[in-house]
Amino acid sequence: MSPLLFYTVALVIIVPALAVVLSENLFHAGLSMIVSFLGIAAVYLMLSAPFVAAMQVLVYAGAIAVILLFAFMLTHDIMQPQRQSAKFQQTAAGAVCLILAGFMGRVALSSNWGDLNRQATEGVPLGVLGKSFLTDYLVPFELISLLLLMTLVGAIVIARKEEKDRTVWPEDEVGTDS
Amino acid sequence: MITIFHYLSLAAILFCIGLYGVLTRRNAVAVLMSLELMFNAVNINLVAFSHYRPEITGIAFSLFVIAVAACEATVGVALVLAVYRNQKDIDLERANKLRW
Repeated sequence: MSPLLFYTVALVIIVPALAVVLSENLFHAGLSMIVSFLGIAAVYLMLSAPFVAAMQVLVYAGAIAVILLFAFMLTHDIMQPQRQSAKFQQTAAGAVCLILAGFMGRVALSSNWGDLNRQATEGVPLGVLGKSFLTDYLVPFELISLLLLMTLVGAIVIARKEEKDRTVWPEDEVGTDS
Repeated sequence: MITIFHYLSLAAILFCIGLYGVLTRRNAVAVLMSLELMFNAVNINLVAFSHYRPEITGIAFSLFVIAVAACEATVGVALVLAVYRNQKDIDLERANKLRW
């Protein structure tokens, strides 16, 4: 794969990601987040993982981005100016992030990757992946379905309106009658 | 030639950008967005290792991470809506009723 393609895709990921964390307008931040997610799907394609790329587009660029944009539009007043955190906090956070990035880059550069750096393989066939989900990873696979169910119920319980006139339980009314 | 180092560097940069957003944003939804960037950085690492070492574990794990991230975003948004209903604002520095 040509380096030019990689650096182009990296630019398509990094620049919108910077817009996500720096943009004043949060709606623009959400839209650039979608561009960044699509760039990451392109990275998965370059890494010969087309199924993960498809899931990235469906779940991240589709579902999660739409959920976050909806949450933003439900809770945000456009007229209200966006409050920034303190200058000191921004400087400290920037320093921490730069140090962490330098550290991780240095570790990745100085490690001996051995045979990991040879020419890459052509990836795992999808059938093998599906079989492994129903054999090796059966328990986590079923736990994920349980987690999704719990999330569904939990999100409804957390986000629904409190009903004020439900404080009197039906049993109490029965008790007063008898 | 593009080696695994390039993918790891890309993931590291993306992770640190997301971390900066989590540390500096005051809007709760913006913090969730930055958090998703960090999730994606980790996923790039998993898929890259799975690519350069023909094994299925990395790809399987990245799919689990995507599923858990979807759950996290849903519950996070539900919490944001609950906080918004209580204090008409999702500024994280004002959501301090549990602090003492």
